This record gives sequence, structure tokens and C-alpha cells, in this order.
Amino acid sequence: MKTREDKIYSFFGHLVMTILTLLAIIPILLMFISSLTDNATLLQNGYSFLPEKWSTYAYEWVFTSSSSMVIKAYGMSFILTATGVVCSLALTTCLAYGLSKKGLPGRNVLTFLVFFTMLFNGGLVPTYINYTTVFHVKDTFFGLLVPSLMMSAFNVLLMKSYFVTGVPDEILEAAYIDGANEFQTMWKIAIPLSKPIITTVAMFSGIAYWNDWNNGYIYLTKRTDLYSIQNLLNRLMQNIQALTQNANNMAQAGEGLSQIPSGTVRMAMAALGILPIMIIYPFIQKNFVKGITLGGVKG
Amino acid sequence: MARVKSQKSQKRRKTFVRFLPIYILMLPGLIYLFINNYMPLPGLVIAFKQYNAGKGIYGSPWVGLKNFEYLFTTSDAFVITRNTILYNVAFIVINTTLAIAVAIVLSELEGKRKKVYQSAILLPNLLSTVIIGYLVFAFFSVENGFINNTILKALGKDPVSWYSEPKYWPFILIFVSAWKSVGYNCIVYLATLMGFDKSFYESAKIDGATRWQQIKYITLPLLRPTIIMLTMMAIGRIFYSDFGLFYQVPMNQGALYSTTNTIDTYVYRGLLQMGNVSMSAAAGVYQSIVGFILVLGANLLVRKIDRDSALI
Amino acid sequence: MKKKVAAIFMASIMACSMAACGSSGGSSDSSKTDSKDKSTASSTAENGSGEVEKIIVSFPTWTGAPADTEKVQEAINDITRDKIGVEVELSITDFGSFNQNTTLALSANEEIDVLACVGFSYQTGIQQGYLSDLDENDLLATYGPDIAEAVGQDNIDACRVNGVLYGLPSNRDIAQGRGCAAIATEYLDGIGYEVKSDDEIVKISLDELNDIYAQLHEKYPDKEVYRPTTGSMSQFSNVDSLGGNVFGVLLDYGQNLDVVNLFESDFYKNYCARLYDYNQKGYISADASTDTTAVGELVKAGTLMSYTTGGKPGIKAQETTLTGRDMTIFQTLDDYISSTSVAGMPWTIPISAQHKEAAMKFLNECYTNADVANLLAWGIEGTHYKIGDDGLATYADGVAASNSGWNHSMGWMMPNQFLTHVWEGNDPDLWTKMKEFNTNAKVSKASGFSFDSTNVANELTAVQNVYNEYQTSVEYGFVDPETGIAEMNDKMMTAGLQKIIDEKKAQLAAWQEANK
Repeated sequence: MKTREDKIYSFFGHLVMTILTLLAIIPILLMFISSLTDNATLLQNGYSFLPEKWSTYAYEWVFTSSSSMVIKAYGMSFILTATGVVCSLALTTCLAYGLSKKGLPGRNVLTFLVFFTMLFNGGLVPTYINYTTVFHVKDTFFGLLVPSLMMSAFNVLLMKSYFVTGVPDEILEAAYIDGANEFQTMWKIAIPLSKPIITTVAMFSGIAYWNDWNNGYIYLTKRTDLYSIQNLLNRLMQNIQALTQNANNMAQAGEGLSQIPSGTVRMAMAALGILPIMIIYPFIQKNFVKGITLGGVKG
Repeated sequence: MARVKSQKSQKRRKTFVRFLPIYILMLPGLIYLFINNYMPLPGLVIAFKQYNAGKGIYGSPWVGLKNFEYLFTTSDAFVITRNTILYNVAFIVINTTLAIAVAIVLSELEGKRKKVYQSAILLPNLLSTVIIGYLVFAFFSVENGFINNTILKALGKDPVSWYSEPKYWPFILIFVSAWKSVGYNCIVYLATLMGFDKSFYESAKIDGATRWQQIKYITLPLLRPTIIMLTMMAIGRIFYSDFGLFYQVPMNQGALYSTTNTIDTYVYRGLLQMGNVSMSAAAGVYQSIVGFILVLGANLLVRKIDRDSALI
Repeated sequence: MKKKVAAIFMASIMACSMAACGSSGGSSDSSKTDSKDKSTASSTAENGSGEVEKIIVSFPTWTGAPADTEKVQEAINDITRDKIGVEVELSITDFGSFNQNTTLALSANEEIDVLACVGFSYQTGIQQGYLSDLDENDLLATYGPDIAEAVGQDNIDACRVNGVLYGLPSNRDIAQGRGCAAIATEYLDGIGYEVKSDDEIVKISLDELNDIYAQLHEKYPDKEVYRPTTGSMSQFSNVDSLGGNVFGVLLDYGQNLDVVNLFESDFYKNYCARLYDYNQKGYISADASTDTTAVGELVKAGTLMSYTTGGKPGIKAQETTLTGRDMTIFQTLDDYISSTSVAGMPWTIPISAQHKEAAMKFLNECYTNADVANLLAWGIEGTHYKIGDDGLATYADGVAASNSGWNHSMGWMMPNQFLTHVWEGNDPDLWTKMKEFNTNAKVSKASGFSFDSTNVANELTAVQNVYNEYQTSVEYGFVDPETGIAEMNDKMMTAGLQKIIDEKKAQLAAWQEANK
């Protein structure tokens, strides 16, 4: 039964969220519209919600000759994100669970060592040298998967803190008394109780993998066939920028290269990067919400 | 005496055996951290050397703190440090508050629309800052922007030259930062909220507590450990700034530097031409050390007040 | 047309995925081309051992490795394998990421035997120790004996830094026509302006140019008359940017070695005043400093009428292709070779090279063997290009810009462009004219001087930041130069500008002493 207060609260809640939703969506809508605008119109009139002249040229430009590249890049992005999330969850959960164990010898030291990595890193050059000369990830799929993304200290600490506060010691103790070993308690008790944070970390790591272009930029120089969609987008933007800055060197047969409809293609590539998420997200979210509510039901 | 010792070591062995499975569980994660973060760490010495590729990182000559000088001797040192810190403080306060507020509002709503809201506000986080820069430009362009062409025109006001007026940019950047990150940040709080024991709320309702009271006396205290932890992590990075936000979004406009130049953008612009590896590494070390000291201080404070919420 | 354009760009993006399954065909074509061997016996003599060394050659193109990279590589190898006992692997990267990728690769000591310093700064390369001394063990003299003749000993010496030779210059448009403005011809027709010259580049005075702009603005008030870019000031000046930055420069085409502060010079004041005047008259868009769209694209879209460019033979054809509109090129200043321009984009052998001798042998071929030069620039004859009746190169039958597997527009970067065929649409005597252009240009007296910034690194970062802060507002004429320049100059002085100028003075004097 809803009280009057509930109704008012619900009304204002929806109102606020509708406004926030519009704020979030309007610029993105603009991005889609500008990707469908004629490039000359865009340059003449600027970005507009109602362009004088529409055009799908930017998409044709991307797709006509390179459909295989874009589709392949989508494939890479999906494989990478899926693999990444699984690996990342496994590593994060196990480490976080351990760090949450009260009485574990060396727990504080280990927590500190994890936290320390959030503040200090060796920098780009040493990291690159480490990964290429010791682990040889250059121009392989591992170059996309492993460096910096696989496990973030942030997620570990987030999850650890949830384990500490959200999984009561008494339940764990009870499980030990019943004869369960560590693996069993973690798998059967701690993890089901922590579904909200696990889904959250899965999502964070999924977003990180989907959005990442840096690893491809650094570690894939020859194997551009392994590019993800973000790598393609980033590469395109960089090439447009390089062309703009060096327009004076565009020599003889510069025909063609100089004529990329840069404004609209940029937006089209961004739209291509975000579109699959918009399509798939509702399905992910369904499970996400389910995960959260299931985890929430406890005594 | 000997017995005590052997008892002790026996006990230690027992604990070790008990926790052995835990160590095994943690091992892969620790190995990853070792590879990803600790193995390249000695490379930090590059910041104290005059890097020469021919001699390698470790063979290059030491130069002490010379590589750090440029961060302090410049007349801009005050401006870039001030900007970096103030923006971060603003982001911590505003983005955290908004994220919590949105999470609380969302958690109490029901129905299909909730999902729409939640996906919509997350979308901005999936855009690269270059694209965001152009979208901002679409609104603030002097000749063709919406604000000048539509809003200010309708109000009968003169167009504003947004990209040459530094005074507007703190607001624009804070807005853009919130726009981009609130949807993302609220996920953590939402997850934490969902994990709360519902019985607290039910008994509170029976006692006749209003919504506001429930939020104030139940929700916020329960969220406290999460808030403290996230804030502390943000403090650790207070000398870092989101490069894209401060470089791409103001379109690298010189006239806006007084309110948009941060340590990261300053270092980037200054070293772009020289390509000095050591000097850019020095900036990173400086940022890390300050963050480290601040976060240890904050942690000490939190430990005194609330032992459980402390990070370490 | 548009589709073709799209196709070619994306084709090169796809290049790498296809390169994996590229065939080794195409070799037959190259063997047909008669090898008028210009190289001397010394290089052929090296061939005796019969052992083939494999080297990695790295350079950027606008869009990464072209689709037929392997074919062209194979064709090059067919020549070099027998002749000098060297095989190459072409490692081609996107221009946009070349600097980063190269820096990292060299730091990690990954093998690169031959490197083009294009988009990767030669100066930085030397200061960070990435490049090796080409005179060491008489490398250049022994294995690249013909290079000096091909590019000129003076040009080679201009690449020396503190007497050490780290790179070899390329044959290209070393001079630059200063003070050039490109204006779309249709608008000139619109105001009834008649070009009184048959020359490719029309010489006029600055006043005449201002007059044209005034008429253009009157006739087409809705179009932007002129759009400055960050390079405009130096292109429209007689300033020599010593060491590649404007902090301490030579004026008057570097004819006297007096290092001065650009920002206190009359030239700078007048330049900014002119741009300020343009702005007051409404020639320049209020978005000029924010909008990063290439000027060529703006002309193409019909919103812009004129922009600054660097003059050289073939510039009219180049700008016309770039904008898709017929362009007229005006020049108000002289042709000029600045102190940094010869050593602007040299070819080098990095420290991570595993086969330095083979690398030098290969460079020697690039500088002297027309077949190799043509392969690098235009690809394989019959596959990618053919020679028309007029003796100019054009796309091979069935090949167009859209589907050519080797069309990178980087001919200017290659070691010796002058050995290659001239492309259709250009003057058949392009290379002769280019040589004349280089010879007749004014040469900076500091040509070959390079600036070591190590001692003033702190000041340089600070001053660079100040310059970035003010450059667009002052040089695009958005602020009154009377106050704007002074404000910028004061801030730069506080940041250490004078120290940089003094350091430059000292280094230049030492250089002058050493090069007497």
C-alpha cells in the first residue's frame, strides 16, 4: 500500500531521473545526428539537431570498403571484453576474498602492496620494456588483454571492503563448523552474498576493456588485424589530426587522403563504438539487476 | 622456554596450514600485480637520471632532482597546482554527492523506467573525451553553438565568446565531469545500497520514520565505509588530472589556461617538443609521492575516528 | 569520386589484415624494368660473400601499411638481394602513432635498422641517444659512397650535430616559398581580379594581397576570407626559427647571425597588427582558434576562401587536389632555406640496428638506384603505376586511387625523390624545377646549426607553455597586439626566455667558430 509520501517521492524521483536522462541523452543524440549530417553542411552551419542536409556518407565511407575491418573489430572487442571480464573477475574475487580474511597473517602488508599500485607505477617506458622483452606480448592478443587492465587495485579494494562488511563472520564460522573448507565457503557463501559487488566489478572491468584503446596503440603495431573497435576509432582520429597538422606536406598524389569527411566520420565512428553497448546493455542490465536483488535477499 | 617457542611455531604452522588455501587463492592476483606493477617499478629511477637510450635506463647518468626542477621553477607552478587540486576537490565533493543522491533515488524507484534511467546516465562514460570535446564545442561554439545561437538569442542577450573567457570554464568542466561520471560512480553506491538489510527500513517505517529520516539515519551511515574508501582512493590521485577532460574538452585553448591548465596538461605541452622521457617520468613521481603522503595522512585520521573504514 | 576516396583510405586501413596473406607475386614486373645502374662498383663488390642480411626499415604513412606492402618489399628484395646482399622488411606505421611507437621500440632496443625521422624528431632522437653515428668506423664512406654525390656534401654536413653525423638528408623541396597565400580562383573571378602572370606562383606585394582580401570580403561577406593556422606566422615571415622553436630567432632570412627576441621585433608587431586588422574587418571566423578542421576541407566545403601555404614547384596542383577547387597561389616574400630545413626529415640508423653495414648499403641504393626509389615512391610498374606516352607516371590499367595497393603520398619523405617518375598532372620537369628552386633560394647563414636544449630544459617547458597560452589569441589577431604582445613577452621573460636566447647565442657563436 502506498502512502501519500511514497507517491510524492515517486513522482519527484521520476521527475529528477527524467531530467538527468535527458541531460545524458541529448548530447549523444546530437552525436548520432551529426554523424548523419552532410559534411559540408556541418562545416557551414556547425552541429545541429536539425541539419539542412542529411547524409549517410560517413557510414558509407566507413563501411563500403572496410566492412570486414569494422566487423572484425567488433568481434575483437566482444572477445576481448568477454575474456577480460572473466579473467579480471577471477583474479579480483580471489585476491579480494583473501584480503578480507580476518586473522590472515600478512593481511595488512598485502593490502598495502595492493593499494600501493594505485599510486605508483613504473611509467610507460619501463612497463613497455617489461611486457615486450620479458613477456613478449607485442603484436599478440595478450597485448590487448593483459597490460594494466586485467586487475585493478581499485576493484580489489572495493570488493574486499564489501566482503568485510557484507558477509557476516558468523555465517562463515557456521560453515567452517559444518566442515566446509575455504574454497567451499567462498564459492557457496561469500560469493552468493556478494553478487551486487561482483556484478559491479564485472561491469567496471567490462567498460574498461570496451573503452580501451591504449593497449592496442602501444602493443599492436604490426598486427592491426587484432584491433578492437576503439583502436580503429582512435587510429582514425589520430590520422585525421596528423593530416590536419601536416597539411603542408600533403604532396603530389595527395588526392583522396585529404578528403576524408573528418567531422562526420569522427562522429560516425564514435556512434559505431557506442551502438552495440546501447543494444546489448538492456540484456546485461537485466542480469545485473537480478544479481543485485538476489544478493540483497538475506537474513 | 623452549616449549613456549615450539608451541609458538606449532601454532604458527597451524595458522599457516589453515590459511594455505587462502594464499593459494590469492596467488594469481598477486603474481599479476607483481608482473604488471612491481616489475616495471625500478624503472622509476629514470626520473632521477638523464636518460640516454644508448646507455639504457640503469646505465644513464644520475642527475639527482634536476628533472623535477621545471615543475617548481616555472611561474605557472602555482596555477597548475592550484587548478589540479581545486578541480579534484570539486570533483570529489560534487561527483560523490550526486552519485549518492542518484543512487538513493534510483534504489527506491520501481518499474521499467528505472532501467532506462540507469542505462541512459551510464552512456556518457562510454564516449572518448575527444568526442566529448566536439560535443561541448557544438554547444559553446561562438558562431554556431546552441547556447549563443538559440538560448542567448531567445533571451535577447549578446553572444559570448566562450573559448576565450576563462571564468566560465570551471563550471563547464565540473559539469562535464559530473555528466560523464555520475552514472558510472553511482553503480558502486547502488550495489552497496542493494546489499543492505531491508529489515532496518521496515522497522523504521513501523516506527513512523519519514523518507528523509530513513535516508539520514539508516542509508547514509550504512554507506559511510564505502564513501570513505572511495574518497580516500580519490585523495591518492589528487595531483593527477584527467588529461582528456582538461586538454580535449577546452580544445587546448591558450586563452583558457588560467582555469584549465593542470599538472598533466602543463607537462604534456612543455615536453611535447623535447620528448624528454626523464622529465615526464619526474612529473609522475612527484604526483605519486604527494598523493601517497596525503592518503597516508587521511588514512591515519580515519583510523583514529573509525577503525573499520580505514583503507589499510 | 567520393566513394573512391573512401575506398583508398579504408583500403590502407585494411592493409595489415590483408598483408598477412599477401602473395609474393609482382616480382616479375620489377625485373622487367631496365636497371640503369647508377651505383658504382663498390656496392656490387660487397656481394661476394653470398650471405643475405635482413634489415628492418621503418617509416610512417598517413594510414599505415599499404595493402601491397609485401609485394613491394619482395620487388625491392629482388633487386637488393643479388646486388648488395640485403633483404628488407618494411615496417610501416600510422603517422599519428609513429612517434610513440618508435620511441618505445627504441627504448626497448627492438631492432630497427633504417629509420625515417618523419613525425619523430631528429633533435629529440639525438638528445635521447636513439640514433647512431654514421661516420663511426667509416660506415658512410665505406658502405654509402654514392650518397654524398646524390644529395650534396653540404646538405649532409647540415645534418651534423656538434660535428657528429646522425642522419642523411633527403632530396626534396628543401626551400620553402615564404609568405604564400592560396586563394580559390572562383572567388578571384567573382571580384574580377585578373592574374597578370603565367607563373605557377604569382608574386604580389602584401598591400595587393590585403586589397584582394578587402574585395573578397565585400563581395562575399558570408564567407570567411582567411583562416590562420598555428604554422601561419612562420610561413608568412622571414624568420629563422633556430633549433625548431621561436624562442630566439634570426630575422631577415638568417642573413646575419644575430639572435633576437622575435616577440620584440617589428616584424612580429606588424604581423599581429595585420591579423588584428583582419579580425576587426571580419575576415576571420570567431571560431578560428577552436575549430581544428583542416583549411583545405573548409575551402572544399565552401566556407573559406584563402589560407597560408608554403610555396614550391607543384604547389598549385597540390592545393587544387587538396581542396577540390582550382587554387591560385600568391607569394609576398622570398624562397628560403631555413637553418633547420635540410636536417628536417633525415634518414637514420638507430642504435638498435643489428645490421648497420647492410642498412647503409640499402640507403646507398635508395639514394642512387632509380628502380628502388620508384618502388618506394610509386610501387611496382604495371601493378600500381604505368608510364604514359608523355613519360609521366599514372595509375596502372584497372588501378585507381581507390584500389591501388601502394598509394601512400609519401614520395617527399623517401631518400631521393628526384630519381622517381613525375606523376601525371605535374610539370614533366618538376624535379629540375625543384632543384632550381632549392638552389636559387636564400639560404640561412645558420643552415646546419642545431640547438641542444638540455641546459635550458626547464625554461623551455615554461616558455613553451606561455607561448601556447597566447599564440592563437595574439597571432590570429583576437587581441590588440599593442597590449597582447607585451603581456606575452613579459610573461615569457619571467619564465626564462632571455636565458634560452642567451644559450642560443652562445651555441650559435660556438658553432660559427667550429664551422669557419
